[in-house]
Amino acid sequence: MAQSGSLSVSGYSLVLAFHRTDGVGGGAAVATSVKACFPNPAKLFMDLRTARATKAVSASYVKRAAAADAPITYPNLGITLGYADAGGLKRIKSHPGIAAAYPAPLLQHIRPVRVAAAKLTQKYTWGLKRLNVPKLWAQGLTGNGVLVGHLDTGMDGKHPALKGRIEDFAEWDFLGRKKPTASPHDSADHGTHTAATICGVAVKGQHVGVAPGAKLLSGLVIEGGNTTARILGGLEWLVANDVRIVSMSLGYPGYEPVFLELVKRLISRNMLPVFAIGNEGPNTSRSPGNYPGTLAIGAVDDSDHTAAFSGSQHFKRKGDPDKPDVVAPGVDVISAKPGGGYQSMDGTSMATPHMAGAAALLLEAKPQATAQQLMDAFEKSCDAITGEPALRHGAGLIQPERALALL
Amino acid sequence: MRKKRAKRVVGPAGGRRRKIDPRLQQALSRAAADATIDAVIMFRDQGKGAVGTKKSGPEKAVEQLARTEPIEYNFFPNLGAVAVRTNSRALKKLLDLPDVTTATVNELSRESP
Repeated sequence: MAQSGSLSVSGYSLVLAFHRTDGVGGGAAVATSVKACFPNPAKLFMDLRTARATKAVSASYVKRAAAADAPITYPNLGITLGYADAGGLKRIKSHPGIAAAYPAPLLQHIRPVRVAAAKLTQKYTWGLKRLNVPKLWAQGLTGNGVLVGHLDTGMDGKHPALKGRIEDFAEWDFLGRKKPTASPHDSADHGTHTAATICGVAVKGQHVGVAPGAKLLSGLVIEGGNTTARILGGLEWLVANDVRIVSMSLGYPGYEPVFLELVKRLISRNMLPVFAIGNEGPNTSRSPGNYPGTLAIGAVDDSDHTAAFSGSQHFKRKGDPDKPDVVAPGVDVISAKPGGGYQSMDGTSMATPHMAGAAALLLEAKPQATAQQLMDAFEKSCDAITGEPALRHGAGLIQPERALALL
Repeated sequence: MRKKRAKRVVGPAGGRRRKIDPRLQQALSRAAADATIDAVIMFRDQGKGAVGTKKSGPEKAVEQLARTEPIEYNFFPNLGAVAVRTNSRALKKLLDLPDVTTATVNELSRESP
């Protein structure tokens, strides 16, 4: 039976329970008793939080989980879906109405490991300074004319830092069909943060965005289920619009090949796939960031140390066996908050848009550069990171100005 | 920890090998003939250059099958993929179309907040 990376890494996972089809597994009463085998989500996450003494599961998340993460039954498919830990999974498997149960992969935005209120106190965020981004701006490079694909939880189009940065915004239905009308909004707060890190403009002289001249094709893809088709709809939209960079701070826990073939096609269409590696620490990673040929991004702090939560993993394969490929600022990253203002987040999701923005700066200068040339240039020009295994950080901390010199 | 997901290989139909996500296989084998299944199917890459006003072979094949089967679908011409909502009987026919390379479930899951 397939094992979920999430169950072994986080202690809980989304679990698919398949009801028996011989009559014993059907009916409302059975569905109710199967659901009772699942742990209470609030208790599940609260227990984990207490036991692990970690900030990875925030108090607000625990509160929301109680309302949103209760198990549900799909009678037509004979499946009950919900979150469970190892004990819960054992109970579900032993239920007489259940034929099989196992952890299921869940595509989701990669949750920040820390979210905190923040105010901008300096002209540039530490990430912009550490990547020497203002030096590229001084050369006239702001990402002007470059479109960046941003598939996330959406974005707050009214935030002052994102004013004028949206080329287009879209949402898709369960079959990946673009909805006829969609106005920019964020179903959480993740997408607004990542969008403004890519191309947020200065507000009152204070900067959070790497490529403030670039524009976004921003899609809300991970809300409402049927995420595979929604992601496909988003990627189809980006390819049709000749977008050269796609930034996705989302992924399946573990190695999940659902999008492998798709990502190969993006690369063959000369699109630079910039994906977060995940926040579950050493010897873990997420898909699609862990696919060969992608540019997988880990997180580094302002002391040039790879963050403890930043994923890294070696794969037994010929091409691109070690992930992440590079690291970028991903700890205490201040960026836009839906509704106005700013907040600080930690996560490889925050490092990923730094990379995407940096690629936009280079593409403005070198529009003919291929995706592979961009990847090579970034990887060959990194600042070395010392005192830790190379697997933790790949080629090192990106340095866009030096990468440009290699193109 | 690396997760190994063994993919089943279906057929030697037409001498081709196609990878079907085990979750989709399981849904197919357990669902009643008329039960609705959401799936995503990828076809052999036709290349972005092949996209134009003319429909590709796979798109025409899906369209033709949808005339006789209750298939709700959306074709992604630039990616060479199709998302479908249909019953298990029709889905099996779709999976047997020429040029199918991979297929997977169209994620059932809800996204947590």
